Amino acid sequence: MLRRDLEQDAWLLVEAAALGLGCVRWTLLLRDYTRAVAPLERQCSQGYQEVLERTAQLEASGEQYRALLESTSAVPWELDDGTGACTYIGAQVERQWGWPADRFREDGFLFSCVHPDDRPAFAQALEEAVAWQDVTIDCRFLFASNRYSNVRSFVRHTPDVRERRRVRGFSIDVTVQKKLELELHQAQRLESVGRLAAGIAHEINTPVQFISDNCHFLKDGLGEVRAVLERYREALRAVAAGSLSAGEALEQSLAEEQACDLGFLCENMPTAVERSLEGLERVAKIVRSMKEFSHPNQDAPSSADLNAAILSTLTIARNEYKYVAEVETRLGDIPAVICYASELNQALLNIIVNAAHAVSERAAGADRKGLITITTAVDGGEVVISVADTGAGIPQEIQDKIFDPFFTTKEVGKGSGQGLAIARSVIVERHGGNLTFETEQGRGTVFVIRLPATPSVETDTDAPEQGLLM
Amino acid sequence: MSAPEPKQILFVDDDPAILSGLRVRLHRFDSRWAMYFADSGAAAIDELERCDYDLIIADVRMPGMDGVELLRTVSERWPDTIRIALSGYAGEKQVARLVPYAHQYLNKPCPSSQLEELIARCLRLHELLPDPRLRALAGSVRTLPVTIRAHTELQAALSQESAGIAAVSGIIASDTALTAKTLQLANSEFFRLTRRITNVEQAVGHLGLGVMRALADSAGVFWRGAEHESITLRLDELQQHAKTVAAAARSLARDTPHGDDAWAAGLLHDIGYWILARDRQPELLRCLQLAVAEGLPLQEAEARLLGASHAQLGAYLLGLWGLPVGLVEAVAFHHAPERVAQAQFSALEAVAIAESLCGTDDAEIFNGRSVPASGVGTHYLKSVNAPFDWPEAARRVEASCRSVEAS
Repeated sequence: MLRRDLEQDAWLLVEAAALGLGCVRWTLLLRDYTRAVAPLERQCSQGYQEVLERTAQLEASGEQYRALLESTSAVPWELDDGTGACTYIGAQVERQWGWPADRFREDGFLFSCVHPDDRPAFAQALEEAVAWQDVTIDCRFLFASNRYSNVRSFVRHTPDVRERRRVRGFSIDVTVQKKLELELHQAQRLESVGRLAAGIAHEINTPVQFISDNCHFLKDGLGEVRAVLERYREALRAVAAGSLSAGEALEQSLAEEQACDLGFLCENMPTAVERSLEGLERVAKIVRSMKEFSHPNQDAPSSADLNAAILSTLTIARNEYKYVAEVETRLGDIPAVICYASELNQALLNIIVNAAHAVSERAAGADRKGLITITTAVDGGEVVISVADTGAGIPQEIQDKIFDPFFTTKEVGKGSGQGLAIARSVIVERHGGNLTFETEQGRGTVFVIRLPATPSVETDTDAPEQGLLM
Repeated sequence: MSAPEPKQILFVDDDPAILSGLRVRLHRFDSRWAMYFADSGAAAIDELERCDYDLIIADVRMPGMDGVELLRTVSERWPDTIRIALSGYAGEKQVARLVPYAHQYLNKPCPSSQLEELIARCLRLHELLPDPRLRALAGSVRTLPVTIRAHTELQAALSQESAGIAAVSGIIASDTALTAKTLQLANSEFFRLTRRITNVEQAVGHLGLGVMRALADSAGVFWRGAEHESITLRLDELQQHAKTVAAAARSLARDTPHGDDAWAAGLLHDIGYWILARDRQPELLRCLQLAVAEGLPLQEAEARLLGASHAQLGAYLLGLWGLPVGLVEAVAFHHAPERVAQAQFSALEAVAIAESLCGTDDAEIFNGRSVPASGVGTHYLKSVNAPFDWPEAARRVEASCRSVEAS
């Protein structure tokens, strides 16, 4: 047995041996082990110090992580799905959302902040997280300022607490981003509307010009016809009064007719009315199409006839293609599709304008126009719209980029590079459809839109303002 | 008395409804105008090959050969045909492409009587310049030589993001060719102006610097005239003279509403020499020789040899370009103001008096050849009710001359 002799401050080995019953013999000091024990003792004390230091370090790094975690604008939290109380929430919540962190420890408080309309989706997301899935969910969240903000939450199950229904997540205020996304979307709409407006102005100005020409002609002509009628009456009265012979009256009337070119007037006045009515119908059609195209006040998906949508989109885009391409439509018997019609129109427009540009690049200089063929059909449970052009085709090296936002082959200022990106986002993300293309160098490109006949449209929590034009 | 021969007018539009509308609308002019209608650029070319047209009115956007291409071809093959664009819509770039080839522009829909008035106004210009060859000369002018200095300054000013309208206007107002083109555009229907502009700063403000940039970038709108200090005249001296007369005319008209008109008429009054210096050097030389030999005023020598004076030629061009009538008249008659039956002091009178008083030495302009000058005198001031007497006029003109020299 090694004992520490406190007086000598040395370690001594004390040996005791049992000699017999009840008799112990102490053998005294055999050896001084002080020297041997000293390093051990130092190690021990060092170990203790190290533990202290490590603990401090751990605490410091824990604090550091916590500080890091709680200094971001993404609020971390852990929720007991059973009680609906937060078992942890980052301290920044007070700074970010205005609520004191303690409030979230109350049962169900977190959930109560979610906008009533968004609660089912949020509950669903938590369910999915409990079932071991990673979920990202956007919902409106009530801040202490009594205003709703758009909050995006990344939620996942807590793997180390198996017996409890716990989920962890980060929530971040994306109101600004949402607004920017919306603005970008609007900007692209405005850009294409602006470009179209110029074309539509041309399309409307032309009929207005000839309607006005014809009406001026009718106005002048009617004046002349009335004057001739007046002369006829005078002649009749004169003949009746006996001051003019029938022969003279006839001669006079014929001279009058000649003077105002009555033959021309009679021949052309009915046509002028006809032409004016045609012109008015042309204007009315354009205006109607613009209204159909922009579909004001549509904040929920509704049932739409895509064949009609294609025709009205073609009407308003006419000026974009009519000088370079003929358009052929082969519209099949397709069911109505539940969709955001104005957004789908926008997507269609972007694809048609794209086709017109592809054709015009090829047609430039050539005397023959290109051809754009639009076909609709049903294939299985899907409605298929294809837009085929006889342009130059998409070069191999850019085929994988054409749906990228801001990618454009047009000169600066001519296109924002948003057209096809938006078309894809509308078709794929908003309508659960599919947008693909096939292209052949020198022959042309076919864009194919596939939409589920009863698509699962993404529910929209923030429908953009609709109805830009009218 | 036989009726004057009807003028030949060709309308071109790819939309048959437009053509039939024009045909019935203009039916009442049948006795004065022989009108033909073509539904494409190619059909128009066939028509032009068949007969001589006085005037063509073409749509801009057409499939195949568009309006710009058509009017360009007409400017080359039938330069004496007056060219008008009638467009439903044209952006800045399209305008810039059209500027060299279209004499005037109209927008669809064009209001009642506007088209008729424009056609009549253009055809009346024929009386100003009866010789078709001279009309072809003026008609072929797309742009006039801009002095090197003004051209360089303008390019530099427009290339700056921060360019100001005042600075750009100052450069344009220092040059006759730039001013003429700018006023042509500002007064054109493209820019939907309701009143006539003869003030360059207002014109540039109205067009906007974006349009000015598009024009400066478009080939053949502002042409840098390097090599025109030739055997006959020195463009820089002529330019200096124009600036002097402009400043003097404005100062004479300063108490009247005609200040801007007088200035513009002064700057543009000799624009006919810009055309002659560009395309008719030998003829101009012969005119100079004749004037010196026989002691004739130069414009009389021009009338005798060319069939018209530089004043008529310049006025015809400005008329073609749609500049205000008062301005066209002032340029046409600046050597013979008495021929205008008008007892009111306005731009013409201001220019005529300024030119008589500013004492430019023609020898400096015409490479040492002194030609006799003609001018107006004291009696003229009274006959037009000028708001000043002769000594006062001389004082104002002298002050203007000094300030132009100093700048």
